[in-house]
Amino acid sequence: MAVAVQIREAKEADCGEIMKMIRELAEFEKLSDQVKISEEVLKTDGFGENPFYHCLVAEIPPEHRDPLGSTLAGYGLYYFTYSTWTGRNVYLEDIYVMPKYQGQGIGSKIIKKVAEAALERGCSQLRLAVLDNNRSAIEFYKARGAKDLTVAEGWHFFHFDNEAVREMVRK
Amino acid sequence: MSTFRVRPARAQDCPDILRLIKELAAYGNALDAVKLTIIDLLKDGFGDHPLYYCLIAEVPDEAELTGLGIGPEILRKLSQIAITNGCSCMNFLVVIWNQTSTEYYTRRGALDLSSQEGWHLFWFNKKELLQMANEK
Repeated sequence: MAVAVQIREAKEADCGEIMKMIRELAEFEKLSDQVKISEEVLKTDGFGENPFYHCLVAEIPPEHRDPLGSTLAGYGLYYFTYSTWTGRNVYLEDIYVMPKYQGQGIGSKIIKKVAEAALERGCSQLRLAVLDNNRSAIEFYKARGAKDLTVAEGWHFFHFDNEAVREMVRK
Repeated sequence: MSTFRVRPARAQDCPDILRLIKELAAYGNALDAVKLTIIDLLKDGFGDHPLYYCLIAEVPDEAELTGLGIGPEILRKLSQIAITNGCSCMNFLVVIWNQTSTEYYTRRGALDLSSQEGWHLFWFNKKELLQMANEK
């Protein structure tokens, strides 16, 4: 039975549940040991003077919530980046719907709101990263017209970890 | 011997920044992809809420520009800024068909997460964004 979730902006009080879902998503991606942040960090970075990210959550209406369960079925976390070719862009860092709420169009509702937010701020592009073995995610994005730039143009994600960054300061 | 200085960009640098952006795009055969103008760079970088930050390598004259260590110095300053601002790492995109760029970064300890972990860059253009926003 489809649950009529409401997509709204996250509040500071949501950070505990968002952190739990971040960990679930990382576990699904088999990259759990890469999650270094805590609920506190999420609060400071998202709800301080200078938010580093924006987050939308899918709120479960009270009548459909498990008594000891979650109030949120999913989230979409994004931030603004800058392209020297086209200006302000949106980068969708995470989009996740809890397994028991999947298949009801909640992911579609979340990405629709992200697209609206992007257009509202004059952004011309939405970018994101997908794991090449995540078939359902790849289909989800391709069905909405996304293009795989890694395959099409050879773009790869590169990363200097903390040790490499410190090493470059020392040199 | 030419000396150079790496410093934060100022509003007056915007015409040069756009020139360099276009040179880089042309090097990657993507000159037509650059839609940004000097006004955009001014408005976006030097208004009340900057959307980007930029470091500039300034040279006193048009002397030999390669082999001076300008690239490593830019990376060093970026790394300092990252650490000062409490950032744990640096992420960026490279077209790996360009072997020189790839080696430049891997030599300095960068990891290719696309090759290592399978991450692909996907993107939606304005047309797709409008379609998603207008979906019932």
